[in-house]
Amino acid sequence: MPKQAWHIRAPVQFDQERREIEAAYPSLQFAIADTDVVIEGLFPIRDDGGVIDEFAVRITLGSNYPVIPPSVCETGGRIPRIQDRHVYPETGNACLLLPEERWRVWPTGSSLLSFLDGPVRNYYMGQAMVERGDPWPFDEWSHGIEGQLEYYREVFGTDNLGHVRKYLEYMIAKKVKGHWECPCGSGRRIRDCHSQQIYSLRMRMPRTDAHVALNRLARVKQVLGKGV
Amino acid sequence: MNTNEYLQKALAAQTLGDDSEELKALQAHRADVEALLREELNDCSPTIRYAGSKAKGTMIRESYDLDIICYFQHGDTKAGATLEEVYNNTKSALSKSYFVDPKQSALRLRGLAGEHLDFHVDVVPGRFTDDTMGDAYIYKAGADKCRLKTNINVHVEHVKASGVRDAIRLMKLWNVRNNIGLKNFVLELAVIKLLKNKKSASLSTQLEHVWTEFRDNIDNLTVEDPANPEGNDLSGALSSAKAALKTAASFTLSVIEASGWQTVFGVVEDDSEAENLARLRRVAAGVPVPSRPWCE
Repeated sequence: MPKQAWHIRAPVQFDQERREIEAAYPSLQFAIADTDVVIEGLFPIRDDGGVIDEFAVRITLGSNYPVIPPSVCETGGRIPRIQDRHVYPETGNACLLLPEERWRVWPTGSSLLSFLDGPVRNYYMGQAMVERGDPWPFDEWSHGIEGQLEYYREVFGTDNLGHVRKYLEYMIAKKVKGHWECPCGSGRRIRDCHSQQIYSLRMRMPRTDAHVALNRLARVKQVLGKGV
Repeated sequence: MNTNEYLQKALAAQTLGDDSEELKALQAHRADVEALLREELNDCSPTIRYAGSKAKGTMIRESYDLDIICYFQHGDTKAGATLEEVYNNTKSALSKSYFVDPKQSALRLRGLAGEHLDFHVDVVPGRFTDDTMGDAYIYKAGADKCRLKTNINVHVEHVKASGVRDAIRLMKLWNVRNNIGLKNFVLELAVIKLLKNKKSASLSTQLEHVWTEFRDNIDNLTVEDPANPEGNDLSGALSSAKAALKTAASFTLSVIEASGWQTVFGVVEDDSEAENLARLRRVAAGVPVPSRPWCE
């Protein structure tokens, strides 16, 4: 049985989020298309002086929203549909963010407005700058698995997949004890090694996002053929 | 970039900045001329000042002159008893360093060694009519009446206070580019008169109005010298250019409709994109939660 549409499942939240978006982005309109909620119109990049640039967009919230973030597509034909511009060539969907990084840029439970104000705005601001000859303002992840490995190195300090897996398991665990082995591979206890890093990450990274990351790690292992 | 932004860019391209080489050269020539006149006419104390577009703030890079007045005190006859003598004595003084080409009222200077200047240097000698140092008489060679009363302060103030100096500057550019040959002073007066009730209109509206009047009502257009409305007849200068004004205005309005404003004033550099990029950079610098794109 297909999952119910988000606006049916959570009508109060839908109404509230819709009002927020319409107030903040009057040039975007809501529509219901089967089990999807579709937001279409001009997405502006603003500063105090007004609109600097704007992109024609379609933002689709599938029935599995908010577990799965909305898909975002530029519909004006302005951005080339190539990976180097972070657009999936087949669908035209924007590669807004690395799924593993969601907890940092749009944590589970955040509003739709914060999705537009955060990753969507950052993405189109970046596109506007790249179009004018600048690099991406906050850098970009490498394509594919290399981007995931960059993320592991940045967040966990290692791209050893076994160590990364251990880290993620500690993010998911209900409790982490100081005498447990540190996931960094040093052989020391957590309390004698990366305790601060681990407890800090546990406070910020929701367990659902750690689960997603762990599932995706399995695919990385599969592709790289490394032992986990 | 909308039409008025475009016109402002066209104007900016015609502006001689304080640091521009052209303006420095102009100022250097003025200093040379003034030093020469004061040295050669050392027993007089003439008032030497910028006149023309430099004084009025209507200068355009594409075509500008250095206009200098050299007026002697009322009652001072050391530079000459008559205006003709003043004119000739000033000419003799300038001839020490320049080849002087005498015009009707002005003395046009050229370098003695054939020095090429990108602009004309015109010196207009004259004498104040009284001690208030406002009105002055200038010599008018070859005219029935050999003197003309004028007042540089009134001319400058008339243009400065017109509120339409941007339109004047673009119309001067149009006058040059269409080779119409209307005297700048007459063009300024015509533009001010035609835009008297359109000071608050956009620049594009002002220009279109002037061209429409040139095309449709040029025969009824008259201008008066604000410093000497009855004594300085400018009708001849305007009449001789009316046909050219009408033709060029009609053509200009047509090409704007068919091809846009760039056909009139040319392509200007669009720096709004650079400005937008700077704004984007500022916005990016203030983003609280950065995110990076990725592709599978």
